[in-house]
Order: sequence, then structure tokens, then C-alpha cells
Amino acid sequence: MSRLRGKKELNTELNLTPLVDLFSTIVCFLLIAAVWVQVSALEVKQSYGTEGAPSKVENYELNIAYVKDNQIQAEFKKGRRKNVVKAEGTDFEATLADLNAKIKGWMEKNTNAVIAAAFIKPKKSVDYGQLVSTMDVLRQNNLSNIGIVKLGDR
Amino acid sequence: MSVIGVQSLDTGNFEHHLLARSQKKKNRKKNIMVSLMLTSMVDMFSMLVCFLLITFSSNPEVNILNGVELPKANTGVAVKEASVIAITKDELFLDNERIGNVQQLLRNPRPLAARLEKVKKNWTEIHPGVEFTGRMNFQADKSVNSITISTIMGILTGAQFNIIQMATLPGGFNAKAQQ
Repeated sequence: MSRLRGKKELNTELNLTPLVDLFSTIVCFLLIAAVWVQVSALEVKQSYGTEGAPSKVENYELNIAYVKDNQIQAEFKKGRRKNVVKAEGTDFEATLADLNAKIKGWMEKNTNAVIAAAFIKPKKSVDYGQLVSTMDVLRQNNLSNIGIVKLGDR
Repeated sequence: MSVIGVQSLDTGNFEHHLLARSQKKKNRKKNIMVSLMLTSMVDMFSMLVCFLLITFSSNPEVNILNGVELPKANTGVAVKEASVIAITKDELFLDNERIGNVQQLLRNPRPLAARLEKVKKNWTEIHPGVEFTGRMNFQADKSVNSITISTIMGILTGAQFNIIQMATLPGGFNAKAQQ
């Protein structure tokens, strides 16, 4: 009689073993395949002659040069017309902040003008990190066509 | 052999029977159900899987060479698959293969140019009928001189690698935060 009662009792427990197996496999796979360092890229198109077809907007070229320590010169150029501004600061980051403000100010003043291309002229005292930061400032001002000048090219 | 009344018992068998029964009882007592509490473990696993799935990225994995400290930039975009040129403080590598000392390569860029030509040839063989994109992933230590960088970029451009993707890490100067 007791045996019959025992048979009637249903085992309602979930069998978690395959679930745990599956989870461990997924965790292992994801840990191996995960990309831990998020690397992004700044694209540089190393070509000249970027002046577009004639249009109502004025296409300017922006030449960036490192003049002294913590001093950057930005030259807005269209044919013979030139507009030179200098960005300065106590350190490199302050100089970049000033450069950002100067570029923004020029763009607000010249609403009809578009900067078609920007070129950065490197300097021995400027390292790659600073060069990338300068490019980053230009890109934050919606300048996407950026090139780095090889010495002796321009 | 002992005799009780008329019946005779084989004590050896009886003892054996008693021993077997007591053994069975002992065995029954030993069978204790040990059940692990799996609920918390399953909880932990589900959270771990969710976290890893969220952080999982479909972008191609970019291996950063030892000795290369990448610069930081806020406007970086997703990296596209291409060959990787890496510049440490002294050495230059192309697809994890050492090409030579940076200063020596600046004086004589022939080994690098030859290797770039090989990369381009391999690309055209793998992609028949497709125009060469000229894309190159560029990794350089942030302390490397900017003139060295521009000269190597010049060598890349000379070998028709015109689209250079400079690898960066998130961060750096933020114009919006400065306002």
C-alpha cells in the first residue's frame, strides 16, 4: 500500500543541471569572445585638391600649425584671402579650448563659408597624442576632411 | 551443528542472513539526499550572461600591440577591418610582424614599402575585381614625435594606402564640456 502511495507522488522539481551546463558554456564563450578595450578610429584622408564644384557657399581651407609651446595658429584660406587667428593657453588643453572657441567664433561670423578641408602641419616638439587631440577638436567642429601634412609637401 | 527440538537450524546461513539484513539497513541509513541550492547559482549565471551579452560588441577585435599607449579622442568611429601598422617608441610592426627600427626606416623606407606592396598584392588576390580601398589601421604610441607620424603616413600614401584609421581610446578633450 505504501509503495502504491509512493508511486503516485510526482516529482515537480526542475532539473537544473542542463541549464547550469548551458549557462557555464555561454559565460565561457562570452568571456573569451568579449572585446574589453573599446578602440575607435579617426579617419584621415591623405589627399590634396579638395576644393569642390563652384557653389553659393564659400569653400575655405583651414591650415593648422604649431607655432610655439602652447600656441596654435589657424589660417582660414580661400585663394589669396587669408584670415589668421592664434590660440593660446597655459597648457596644451587650454590651447585646444581656445582653438575650439576661435574656430567656433569664425564659423559664426562667416555663416556663408564652409571649411572644405583642414590640414595639420606637425612639429618636432608636438607628439602624436597632441596631434590626435587637435584633430579631435577639428572633428568636434564638424570638420571631417582632415589631412596631416608631410613636411616639404606644402 | 546445534539441535533444537526436532528442527535443525543451519546457523551459518542464518547468521549470514542477519548480517546481510543489518548491512542493508546501514546502507539505507547512509543514502542521505544531498541537494545543492542551485537557485542562487542560476541567478548569478543569468546576471553574468546578461551583462556579457550587453557588453558584447560585433566590431572587429583590435589587438593593441604591447608598448603602444593609444591617444584619446572623443570623435572616434567604429574601426573597419584592415591591415594594422603599429609604431612603438622605437619599432615598427605591420600585421604583428616586425619591420624594423623606426629611425632606420625613416632613413631607408624600402623594407616598409616592399612589405606594403605585398599587403596590397595579397588584398587584390583575395578580392578579385574589387577596387583597392587603400585602408590601413594605424596604431602609434602617443609619445611618438608627430613628424615621425607624418613621414610614415607619407610612406603609406606613397604605397596607395590613402585612408588611414588612427586608433584611439575614448576620452580626451571635450568641447561640449568646456562650454
